[in-house]
Amino acid sequence: MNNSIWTAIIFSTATPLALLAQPAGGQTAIPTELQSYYESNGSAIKDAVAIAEDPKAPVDARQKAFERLRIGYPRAALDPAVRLSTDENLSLAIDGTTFLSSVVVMMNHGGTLDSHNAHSDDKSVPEAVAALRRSSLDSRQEVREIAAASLASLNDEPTLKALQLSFKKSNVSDVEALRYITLANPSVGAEYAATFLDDGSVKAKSEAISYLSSSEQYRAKIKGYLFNEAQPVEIRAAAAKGLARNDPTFGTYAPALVANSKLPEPVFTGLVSEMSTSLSSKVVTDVLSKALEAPLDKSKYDAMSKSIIRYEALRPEIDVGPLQGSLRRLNPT
Amino acid sequence: MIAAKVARPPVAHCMIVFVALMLFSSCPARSQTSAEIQIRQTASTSDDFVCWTPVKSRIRLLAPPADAGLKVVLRTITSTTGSGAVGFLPVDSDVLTSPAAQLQIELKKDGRWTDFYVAGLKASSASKDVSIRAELADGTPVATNSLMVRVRKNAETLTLPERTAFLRALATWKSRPGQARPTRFEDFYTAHADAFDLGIHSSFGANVSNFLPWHRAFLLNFERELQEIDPTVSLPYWKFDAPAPKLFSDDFFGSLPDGSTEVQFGPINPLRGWSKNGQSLRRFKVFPTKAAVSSNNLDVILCLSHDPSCQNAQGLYRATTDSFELNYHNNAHAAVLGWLGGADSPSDPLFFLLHANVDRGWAHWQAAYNRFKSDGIDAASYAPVGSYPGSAVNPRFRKGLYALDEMWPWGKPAAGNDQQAKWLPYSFVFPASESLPLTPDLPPIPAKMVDYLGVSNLENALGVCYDDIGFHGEVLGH
Repeated sequence: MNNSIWTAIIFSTATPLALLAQPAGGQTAIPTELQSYYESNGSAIKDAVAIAEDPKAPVDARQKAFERLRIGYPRAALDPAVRLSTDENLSLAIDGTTFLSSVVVMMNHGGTLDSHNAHSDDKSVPEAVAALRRSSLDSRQEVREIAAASLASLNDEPTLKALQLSFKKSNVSDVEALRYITLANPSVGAEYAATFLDDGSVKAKSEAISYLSSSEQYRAKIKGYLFNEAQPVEIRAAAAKGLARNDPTFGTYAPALVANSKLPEPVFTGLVSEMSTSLSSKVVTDVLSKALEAPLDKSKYDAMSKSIIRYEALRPEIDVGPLQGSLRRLNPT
Repeated sequence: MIAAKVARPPVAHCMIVFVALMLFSSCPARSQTSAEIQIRQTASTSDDFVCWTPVKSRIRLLAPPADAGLKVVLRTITSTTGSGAVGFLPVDSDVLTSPAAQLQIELKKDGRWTDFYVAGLKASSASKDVSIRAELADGTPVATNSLMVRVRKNAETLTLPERTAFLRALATWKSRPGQARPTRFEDFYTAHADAFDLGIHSSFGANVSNFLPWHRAFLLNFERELQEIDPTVSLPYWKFDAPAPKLFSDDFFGSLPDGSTEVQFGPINPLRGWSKNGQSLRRFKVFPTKAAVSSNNLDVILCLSHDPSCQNAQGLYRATTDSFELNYHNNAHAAVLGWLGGADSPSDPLFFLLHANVDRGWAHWQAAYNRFKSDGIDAASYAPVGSYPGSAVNPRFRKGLYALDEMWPWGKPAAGNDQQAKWLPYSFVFPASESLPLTPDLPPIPAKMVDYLGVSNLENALGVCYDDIGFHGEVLGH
């Protein structure tokens, strides 16, 4: 039996619901070697579809029916999931959207829909992506976040654009939008995250800095935040961490900064504790040595202590003995 | 192998014979007996690791008495620092019987070997924390040998030293030189993404896949590379249908600060700074307090009631692999997202623990339905059966998917100019592990991955076991 016949059987006999008479744009693909399995369980599948989609059935019965479908007969669950994803009942909408997310997470070839379509004529993934794009704008955050986070993780640009727009329309907060956007590869997501460098709350700006610090084109701007004493400490601390991890010129300015006793502790900690393994031993040692030249309060002293232990463990080529000796001679103020 | 020399008959004042034994010294004696034990029947000690599968081992007299054989009892002594224990079976026994805590055995008077089986009874928690001792009827030891019961454990149950050893090995592995890319880390995540076109995932298309055996081989490749760094390490699994508060902590696989997607590690966690192209590791959610995947999913997939009304109750591989992949596996990826959400998901090291749990699920299914046939012709254990191109070239059935095919990236490409195979132009060398199957020259095929425990043939055992399922299919106490 070919796929279209199989699909026709499911949808022509499943339920009296009008929805089932209008199958979604895609077609559930049943591999030939699985068709006998699906055919032999045809009535169980039809019953489960009917119950899952029956708005008059109790919610828990609908959920259990959908669970039977998705676990035992996942290839018959896609179209019901598309419909459930917009169900008024939140639990059912979550179940449907979660299933759609599971359809796309392992989609082919680098993850984007375009690359998938270039290599596959399978229609289930495009159908799931279309439904998820719609759900990423759902008014219910519990539904929206499943869809938006899934597609953002897969570098789906239409979703990133929609999220940016949704933020501008105040439908989602900047922090929420960034939680999705920062899941994308920066080569795709950076331009969307960059919006929040200028336009975001302190929390959003800090997240955007952290995300963008691996992209060279934003590094000068982020360095500006680090040096700007008028900026909130959280933002400067995020800049300190990001630059310590990513800026190859870190050694040219960090020693002088950490030697400044007025540097706020979170910024100081970001600078001394996050230095990348790609920075040379000399740079790491210079920064830590300079940090020990200024008076350290208790929190800075603790940050130095933990940092030295960290570099001792992760960078065995660094001789931390002199640093530990200097630290022991200090009394935190 | 450690041989011990002791007095025979024992000298009364030799009360610290075990200490002497460990120091390779002998007690004052009129005549001495010593014996040698070899795990896996090799003199090497670097293969002295077992799990639940019975492993053929042997013992012999080193200074044989002239007139008669010598009866000894084999038993285990667990060190005070570990938790492992092993049992024994006579070599002529049915290996499907349970190993006994001790075994009486007669050593040949001419010094020839006497074989026996040794199998893990309890997982070790420290390096070589089990000693096998051969002793005379009066308790005098004549030989001892140390080994480790090395099994894959629920990450939540690892002791602090086990966790630390694993994290250190993982961090070291990340920067190891690659075979196709600058590092092994890059090798693994790019190979996984590249392999999509070869059918490692069925996904929701009409693809046939080698999803379960390919990932079993991928994990084993990874685990053996970790064991080259630290042989005491085995790959833990993330039991994603239960909360994992220890795993998702700063000191293990990281937490997520409120409102952020950047994974946070403790100051001395070896994974701190885990990055890809300068970008720090990203996840959308972690699961310290609730399950990522519904806790009854595995039970539903397994249909342990064997009730015909239960899906998969027929225990057929093809439908079951679909359930494992499209539900159990995809749901776990989809729950975490970020780096774990796409084709290059091995860039998040959680990938390996996630897949170890999927593999554990397959192991439970195999045990429930006795699906260990590795001959490549039993479709209930693995399909498609046979070798590429099968009875006819079908574009959905590529080389590497059939039970007896070598799989990319370890195997050899299809002969000639076979466009159907579409193998990629780089490959991995499958790491050998002493005395175990699979080597660079004999790389994985799906059929060889099926009988991972050696249930149908002990020679098939890959040296991999899970802490909650035994050699006889019994569910163990975790």
